[in-house]
Amino acid sequence: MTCKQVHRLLVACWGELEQLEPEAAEHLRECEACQREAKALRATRRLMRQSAQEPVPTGFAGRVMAEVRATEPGRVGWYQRTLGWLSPPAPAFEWARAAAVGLALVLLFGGGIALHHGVGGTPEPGSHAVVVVDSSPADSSPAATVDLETLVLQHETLALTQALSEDAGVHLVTYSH
Amino acid sequence: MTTDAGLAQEAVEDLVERAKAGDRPAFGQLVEVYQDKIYGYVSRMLGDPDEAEDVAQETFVRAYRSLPHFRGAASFHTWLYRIASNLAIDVARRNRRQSTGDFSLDEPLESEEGDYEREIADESGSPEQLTQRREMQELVRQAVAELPEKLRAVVVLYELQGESYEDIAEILGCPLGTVKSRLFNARSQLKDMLEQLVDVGELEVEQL
Repeated sequence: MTCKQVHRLLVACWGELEQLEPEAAEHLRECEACQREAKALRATRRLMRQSAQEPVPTGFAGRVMAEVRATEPGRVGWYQRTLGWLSPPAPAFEWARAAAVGLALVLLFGGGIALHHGVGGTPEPGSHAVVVVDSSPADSSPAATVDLETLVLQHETLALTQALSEDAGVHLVTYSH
Repeated sequence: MTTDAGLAQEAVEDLVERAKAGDRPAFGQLVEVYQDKIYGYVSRMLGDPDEAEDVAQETFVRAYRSLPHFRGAASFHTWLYRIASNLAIDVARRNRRQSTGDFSLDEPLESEEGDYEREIADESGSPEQLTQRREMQELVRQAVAELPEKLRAVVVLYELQGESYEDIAEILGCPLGTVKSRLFNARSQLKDMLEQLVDVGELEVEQL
């Protein structure tokens, strides 16, 4: 067996002599050059295997999952949906919000006139509607005044309709600019 | 029972199925299980910790997005490695193209005390031996980084990550024979690179 042949076998087994076939092992016993080659290969492999692995950076998995959440298409949690209603909506959901606001307005100005309890009187041209939420019907002073759109955005449409239909402290009022 | 990254294969499959159904915490558990393997692999492929973290993170994010397409023909860890390999090889190639000055193993090493030549003194059993061993390991690390990307991927996966020939063939999408020939070339090139610097045949292997 030639040195070249033995060299190929040594590279294939990283110079580990016990893996050599008998003919190559016999050549190796008498060939100093091949012995040095085997030793060099074993040293190279051992040094390579000793190279320490970089530890995973602290918080890596958490950062991965934050990125997963941030880029997840079509899988939005309930809290994100809620926040989405309160913050500027994504274009895809714009129509849904507009529809809900429109529905609420129809309910308020169509059938909702019946809820009027005389706080404001007949609306004048150019007037702006607000909803006064009064937690105490017996008390004539409103507990809180919120802008109509804000209220619509903060409540589900059905819940709002239900609240308006209850004669407990919900008044439709108007005021002039 | 076979295990994958210390977890029973059935447990991995269960987590994968749950993650595919949109169970994010299940995917979080898979990240915990495989982060060592994936980060270890890309950091050895790229050498730079920041770059390695970016690539490892992108690997998991892409895996999550692609989960609906994972049919289980390959094992989950092989599939993850494949995503990581594609990303790491691309980044390594880009780095090679952008590299202004090629790293040379003949250049002196830089240290706080100044530059010094890469020489390994024939000492053993002394405090210097540890330092020299670390220097040698750094040389080997740099030699691995000098290998062409495809040879580097094979040698890192086989020698350092402990993957089988069959799994490497699947990860890199090449025949088994190609894996073996690349490994042969990688070993040969590594030894040649080191021999240009030190007489590795003179090193006492048992003391390394």
